[in-house]
Amino acid sequence: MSSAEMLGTSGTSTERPPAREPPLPIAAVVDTECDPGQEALALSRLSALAAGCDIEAFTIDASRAFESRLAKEGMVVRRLGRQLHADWASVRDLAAASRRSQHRAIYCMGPRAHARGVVAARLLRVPAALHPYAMPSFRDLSLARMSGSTLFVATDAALGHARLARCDAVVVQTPMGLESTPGRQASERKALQRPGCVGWIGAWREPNNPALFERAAEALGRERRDLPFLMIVLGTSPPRASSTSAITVIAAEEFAPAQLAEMGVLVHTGFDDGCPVAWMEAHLRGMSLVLPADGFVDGFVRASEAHFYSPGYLNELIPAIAAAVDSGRQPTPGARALCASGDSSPSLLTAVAQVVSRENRPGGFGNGGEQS
Amino acid sequence: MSQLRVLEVLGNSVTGGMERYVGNLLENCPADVAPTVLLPFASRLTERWIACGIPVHFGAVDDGRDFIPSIERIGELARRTNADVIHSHLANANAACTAASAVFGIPALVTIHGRELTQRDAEALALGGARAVVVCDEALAQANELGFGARVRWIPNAVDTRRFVPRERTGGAVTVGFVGRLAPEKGPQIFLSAAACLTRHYRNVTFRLVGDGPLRHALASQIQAGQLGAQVRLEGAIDDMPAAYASFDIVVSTSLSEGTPLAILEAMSCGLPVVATFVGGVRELVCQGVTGALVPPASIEAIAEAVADLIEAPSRRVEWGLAGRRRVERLYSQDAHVAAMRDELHRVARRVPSSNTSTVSHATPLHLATGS
Repeated sequence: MSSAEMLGTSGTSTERPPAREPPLPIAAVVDTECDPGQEALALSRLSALAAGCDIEAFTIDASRAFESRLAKEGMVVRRLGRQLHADWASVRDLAAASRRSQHRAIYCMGPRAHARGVVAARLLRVPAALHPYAMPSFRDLSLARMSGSTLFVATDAALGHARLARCDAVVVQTPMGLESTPGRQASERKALQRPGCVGWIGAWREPNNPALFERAAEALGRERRDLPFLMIVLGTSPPRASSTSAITVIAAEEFAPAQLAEMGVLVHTGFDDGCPVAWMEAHLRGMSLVLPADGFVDGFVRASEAHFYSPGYLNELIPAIAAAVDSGRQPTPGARALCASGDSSPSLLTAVAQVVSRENRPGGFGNGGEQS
Repeated sequence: MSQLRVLEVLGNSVTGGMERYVGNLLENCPADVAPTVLLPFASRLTERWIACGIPVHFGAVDDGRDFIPSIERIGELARRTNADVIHSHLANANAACTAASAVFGIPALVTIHGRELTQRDAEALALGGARAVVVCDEALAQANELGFGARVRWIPNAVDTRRFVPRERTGGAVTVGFVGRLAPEKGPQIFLSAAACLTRHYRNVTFRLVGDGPLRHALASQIQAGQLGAQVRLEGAIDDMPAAYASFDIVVSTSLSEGTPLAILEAMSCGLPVVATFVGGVRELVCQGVTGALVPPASIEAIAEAVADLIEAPSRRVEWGLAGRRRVERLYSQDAHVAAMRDELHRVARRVPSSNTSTVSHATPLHLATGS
C-alpha cells in the first residue's frame, strides 16, 4: 500500500492466553481525532480484542503515543493519514492492505474510519463492524444500514435509534474501559473523601465543551470563593490558561484513574460523549457526578445516582454542581448501572467473532453475490 | 421475461462522445430493457432524454470528496428503481458504481470509453467484482495483460446507419468539417491552423467546426486575427448532426488522443472520406488509402496536405466515402452493438435473454421524437 506508513510492532509485551481457535486476523480502522479520551477507549477495546485476534491497526488521525501503545500491545500499526473525507483512494489503500493480510473482518472506530471500513469491507466481501465512541451519528446509522454491517452500540437508547434507522445487525456492547484497566481491585474503587474539589477531565476540544465548565466555575467562584476547581486537560499540546483564576489547570498526556484522586465531584460537559472512560471510572468509585442528560450517559446512570442537567445549559449546570458539592452523599453502587446491560451482552471479542461467523455462513454476505 | 431495469450512471454531462454513446444506447434501447439515468447536471442531451420519457436524475457522481454520498445516491436510486444492473461510464462513475455494487449487492457493468484503462478503472476492476465493456481493442489488450480478461468484453462503438446516411453529392464548392468538443485533446486549433494554410490556396473551400467547449473563445479570436471569417465558421453545438454531415465533403479529426470516436463513425456512415490523426482506436476505424488518410498527430502540414489531396480528387472522395459506408455497415452497426450490450447487461444481471426479444426496437427513435 502506497500511502500507509508502517509504524512497527513490538510483539513481545502481550502474552496471548491459550485459545482453542487460532487468532482471527482482522483489520482495525481507528480514527481518534487525537482525543486522549477516545484513544483510551479505543485502546481498551483493541486490547480486549487482541486476546483472540491478530490485529492490524490502521490509524487515521491518532497520536504517536496511541500508536506506540498499540504496537506495544503486539499490533501491527499503519497510518492511513488524516484526510477528512473518505474518497476512493483512501478506501482503495485500506482495501488493498487488508486483502494482502487476508483479514476476516474490518472493525472500525470513529466517523472517518466507519466510512472507509464499510466500503473497503464490502469490496473485499468481508464483514464490517462499526463501533462508535458515543451515540451513533446519522452517518453511522446510514452506513450500517446501507451495507448491512454490524453496528455496536452501548445503550438501549442507541439501540432504539438503530432500530428506527432500520439497521438489522445491532449488538449492544458494554463499554470496555473499566474491564480492561489492568491491575486494579474492586477495593481500590472506593469513594473519595474530598468532596470539595470540582473537576473536569478531557481534551480541549469543542465537542468536549470545556468552556461551559469554565463559565460555570467562574459563576460559582464568585459565590463560593473557597471552592476549588480543577481541569485536567488531556493531550500532547499545552493547555491554554483558564479564563478564571478559580480554576487550576493541569496537563496530562492521557487519562489515568489516579487523576480522579484530586477530585470530589466530576463534571462532564461534552455535547456527545467523547470521553466516557473518565466519568465511568468516577462512577464506579462512587464519586459525585454532574452529567448531561443526553441519552447516552443517562443510559448508564440512574437519575438518583448523579446530578443531571440539559447538555449545554449553563443555568442548569451551575445549580447541579452546587447540589453535588452540597449533597455530601454516600458513594453510589456505580458498578450496578454500568454492568446492567453487560449481563446479557457478549464480550467484544465474542461479538466480533460472531460477526465473522454470521456473515461467513452459507447465504451470508461473505459467500454470496460473486459476479461471473 | 420481465424488463431488465438498468441504472445508467454517467460521470459527466457535457455533450461529448461518452454522452452521445449513452444517448445512442437509450435511443435504441431494446423493448425488454428499461433504463433510468443518473448524471451530474442537465444538458442538451438530458433535455432530449427527458422529453422522450426516460427517467433522468441529477446528482454528484464522484470518487473524491463526495465519494460516500455518491455511493449512497447510486445505491438508493438503484434500490428505488429496482435496478437489476448498474451500468457506469467514465472512471469516476466506474469507481463509485463498483463500490455501490459491493455495498448494496447490485451487479455492475462498467464501460471504459477511452483507448486504455485509467488507473482508476484498473483499481475498480481489481477490487470490485464488476464486469467491464471496453470500446477500444487497445484497452482490451491492456485488460488481458492486467489479468481482467475474463471479466472484460470488447464491444466497439457503433453508429446508427439508418440515421446517418450518404447524400447525393453534386460537386461544386468543397466543405471541410470538424466535429468534436472544442477542447485541447481534440485539436481544434490544429484544424484551424491547417485551414489557414489551405485558405491561401483554395478560395472556394469552406471550413466548419461543429461542437462547443472551453476553446471556443480562443478559436474565435484565432479566426478573427487570421482574417479567416470568410471561409472558416464556428457553428457551435448542433442537434441535427445528419444534416451537418450532409453539408460536408470531407471530415477531419485532429485529436491528440482518442478511443473510438463517434464523429468518425458517423462521417463514414454518411459516406464521407476522413482525414484523421492515427491515435488510439482511430487506427481501427480508418483504413489508410481505402476509407481515408491517417496522418501524424499535431502535424499541421500533413493534415493540410491530406485535405488538399482530397479537395483535388473528387472521385477519390466518392470512392473512400463508399468504402467507409460499407465498413461501418459491416463492423460498426448500431443494431449489432445494441444486441451485444443487451446480451452483456443480461449476463451481468444473470438473466438469460430470450431469443424473441433480441431484435432492436425503434418504436420511438429519439431523433424523430425531437424532430432532429
